Amino acid sequence: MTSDWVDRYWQLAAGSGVWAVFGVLTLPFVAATVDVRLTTPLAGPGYVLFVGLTIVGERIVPQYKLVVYWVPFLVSCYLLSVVVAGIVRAMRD
Amino acid sequence: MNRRAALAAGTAVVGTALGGIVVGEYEGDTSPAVPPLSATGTLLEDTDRETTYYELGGGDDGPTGVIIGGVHGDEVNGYRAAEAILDWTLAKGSLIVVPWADVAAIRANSREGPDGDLNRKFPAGEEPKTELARALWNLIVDTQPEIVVDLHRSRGIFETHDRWVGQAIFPTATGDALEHAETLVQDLNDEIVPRTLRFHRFTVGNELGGNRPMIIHKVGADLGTAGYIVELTEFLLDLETQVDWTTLIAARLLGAHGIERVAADR
Repeated sequence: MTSDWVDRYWQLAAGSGVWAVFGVLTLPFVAATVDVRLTTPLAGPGYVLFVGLTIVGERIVPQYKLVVYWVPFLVSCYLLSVVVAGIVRAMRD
Repeated sequence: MNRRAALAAGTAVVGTALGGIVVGEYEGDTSPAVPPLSATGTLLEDTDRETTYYELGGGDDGPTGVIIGGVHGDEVNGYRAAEAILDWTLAKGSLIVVPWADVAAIRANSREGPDGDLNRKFPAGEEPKTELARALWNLIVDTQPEIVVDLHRSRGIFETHDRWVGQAIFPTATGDALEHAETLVQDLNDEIVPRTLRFHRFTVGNELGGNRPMIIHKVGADLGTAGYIVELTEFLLDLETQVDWTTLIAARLLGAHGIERVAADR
């Protein structure tokens, strides 16, 4: 029983579905920032999320450089991935 | 005529002025982009602010432009784009290029040099505030340009991030500078900015009329000449793209004022 719960939480927090969504959110966007010629429409969600974070953050903590927003961006992407993968998993089950 | 006289007087040092300079990311005896040119001169020779300027073209009576990079030492795209321009062959008109305006700031990879922010030393209607600013201004005045372009970058994006001015062209309130800027911005957004990167679309900034002590403000207010501040952004934009886009913008602005590269360079 305990093992079953651990497995369920592990799947919820770090299952393959989570990393698949995380990859879709981050990798195309990271590629676009490495070289703008690698920009594809797949970079759009990550791009909008990153810019949105900086727009809000600039008003709250304007002293920070925009590069620091990679941290909340990656955390946000992970949390979104958990939610999306969880929803998909719940619908499938 | 004045331009020729100024250049003739300033040609004392040819091709050696960069010896020993460490320019931004480059370390070595010279910058990697210093081709043989028709004429060069130096500003503030034999001082720690000494910097070289170059003349391109000059084979006809066409218009003359001035390109300035490195006014802020940490805005790498500006001086690297200016270095790229040194490779051009002009089909029409001539060009004075000052790639490394504030050498001390570039060496330190910082916005400001020992005398502070160079682009705050040019009050309209008054003498520039530092020796370097005066030397740069005298070069511009002697050149009698049709157009002056100052190359910069910002951390964020104009009208997206409150404090930053990137991805914008700021024209002087002189002649048809605004019209040229508007045409250019539309072309850039159609041609080079990926549709996905919607916040990186270029915009036209406010017209510059002399109310701030910046080079291009002073160009517009004191000389009545078309001038442009070109602001890229370092935000989510790789350096090579910053340099490529900055160079392209300079080429388009110069072309709009009748200074054109030969086709092979494009």
